[in-house]
Amino acid sequence: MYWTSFADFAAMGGYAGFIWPAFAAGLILLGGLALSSRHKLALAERDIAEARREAGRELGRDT
Amino acid sequence: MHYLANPARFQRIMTAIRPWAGGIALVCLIAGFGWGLLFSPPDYQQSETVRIMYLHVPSAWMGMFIYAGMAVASAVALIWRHPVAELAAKASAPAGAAFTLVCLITGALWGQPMWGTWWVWDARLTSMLILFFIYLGYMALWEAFDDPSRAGRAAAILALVGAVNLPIIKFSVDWWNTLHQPASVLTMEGPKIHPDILWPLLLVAVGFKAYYIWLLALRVRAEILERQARMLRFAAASDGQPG
Repeated sequence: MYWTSFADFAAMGGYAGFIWPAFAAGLILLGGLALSSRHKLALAERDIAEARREAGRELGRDT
Repeated sequence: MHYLANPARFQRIMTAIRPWAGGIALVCLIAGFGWGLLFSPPDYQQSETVRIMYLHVPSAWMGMFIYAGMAVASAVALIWRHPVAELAAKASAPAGAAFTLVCLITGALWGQPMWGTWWVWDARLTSMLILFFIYLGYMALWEAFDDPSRAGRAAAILALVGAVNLPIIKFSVDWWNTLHQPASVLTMEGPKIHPDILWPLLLVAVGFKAYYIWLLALRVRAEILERQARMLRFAAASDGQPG
């Protein structure tokens, strides 16, 4: 390992104020997109199930 | 290509690929960032700030790669009326915008300690900012129309026109005198950087590609289900109309 201690690693040679926010931005944006996409799919699955139920009811009323 | 035009078939393939893509993304990103942050040495000029490059460079590649994919998918959708290509382009845009924004933010965070400024109106930086705005415009265009087929056509035309920006981004550092350094990985002579820095960079790049495939599988499925729900409701409403 390149670092000698955790404090050394966290300090990033004095550039921690630039390096850690860069990784935080990446994590927030790409992690947030992954979570919101999973949420979008869950909503779409719920919506199609509801639409199929509604269509079934419509069909039942017509016959 | 026509084999994939069937949404049910496309969904089956993507559902099978999704867990593999997610697993590869997780392994490559943990390995790549772990290697880059814990084991790779600092650069002799950039010092520790070179670690931002493990995120910045693959994000820039992804921003351009996804846009190129969107332009091809848009052309396929316009020429052959390929329904899945249109949805794939639409589902890709948020990922492309997110990667481009990560590239711009991390670039600014690297620029301040290295160049002494967060931002310059340099050809590479400006063309990358334009790419981000094109992504936003593309997504806004999809929301601007009530009719999805008209929205899809308008957005596809924008995606094709915007593709002109891709060679400008790539060659901006050769065509103009820029503060941004020239390419050091994707060059005709091969990579110019040390393997200790190159390998973690490539691992993150593979991880990001796999993440994008995982995300695409998820978002295209959501788009297909949303469209099917809308069609079911429309058909039910049409059947219920008197006369």
